[in-house]
Amino acid sequence: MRDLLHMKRGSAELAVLAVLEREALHGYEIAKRIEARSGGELRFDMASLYPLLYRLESREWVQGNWEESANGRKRRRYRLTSAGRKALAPLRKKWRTFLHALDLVAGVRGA
Amino acid sequence: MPSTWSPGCAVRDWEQLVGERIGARFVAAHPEVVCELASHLRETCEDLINAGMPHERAERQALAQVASWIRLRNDLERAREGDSMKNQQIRSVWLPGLLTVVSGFGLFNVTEASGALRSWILQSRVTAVLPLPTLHNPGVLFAISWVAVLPLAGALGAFVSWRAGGRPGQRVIAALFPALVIAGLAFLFLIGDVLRPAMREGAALGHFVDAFVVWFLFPAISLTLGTLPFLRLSTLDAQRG
Repeated sequence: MRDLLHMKRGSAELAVLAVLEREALHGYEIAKRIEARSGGELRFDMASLYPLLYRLESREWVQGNWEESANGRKRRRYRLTSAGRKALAPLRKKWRTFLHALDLVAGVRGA
Repeated sequence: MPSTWSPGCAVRDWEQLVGERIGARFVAAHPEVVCELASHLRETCEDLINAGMPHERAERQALAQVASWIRLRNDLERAREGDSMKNQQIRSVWLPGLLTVVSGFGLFNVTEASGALRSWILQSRVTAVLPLPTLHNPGVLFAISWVAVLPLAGALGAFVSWRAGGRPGQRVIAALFPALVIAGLAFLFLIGDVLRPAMREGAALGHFVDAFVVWFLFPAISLTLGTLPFLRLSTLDAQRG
């Protein structure tokens, strides 16, 4: 059960870091972008997104900066730091290996 | 932080709503997080309304993202404060406390070796002022000599805690560590003695009261006195320094 939880958390980290790799986004945009890129299969609600973003920020993998839009709204935009960029490559590799192994066992890819 | 109203969801002040659900303590500690969550809810709601959903249903659906606000609050607190809070406590309480113990018991050894303070106390009027029956006991005299120099250890602990950004309460706790160590040891001895028949009859209770005063209360007061110059300094000054 705990391993499953770690797996889920790890995949969420990968998804967030991957969407921030291209451009800086604020929280709501991150959730929308993940949903759009996954064809609606992966959805982040607010309750799971922000604790994750703050954890990534405490590891200095992402950095949030407040900005004010033309209509006076304040939003926090997150960008990937160089440490986050470095962390992304091994995470990708780990997940690729894991998915390949799972495919060998359960034949999930071609299903 | 001023509340911002959403044109699309004008019936709601989202920051107020988040504040009410997540709790006043969290709002006071993390106003920027409340602002960010409110912004997320407002945008979710606006998108749903723009997609043709009625206002009330859009609000309900936006709020449905959070199944438990208590859980969200705990998750956010852990994510925001978890590591930094632990490190802050180690730097501002445990490390200065350890330093106070080392310096306090270092002074204990110096006092024991020199004996100068003991001679001074014997010749002074301290013995007449303090109404303790066991005051002429060499051990008690030694304890008083130690207590006389303990503010130095208390001051050191409070100073180091202040430098690490410790709040006034944390500075006092760090300074009190030697007294707390003694209290812990005394508690163990007390349990051992209570198990002995002589102690159960109350024969040595007076001895324990004196020991408590001399070995815990006096050192604690003395250590606290040492913290006084550092209690009025603001935490912000320490962080700047």
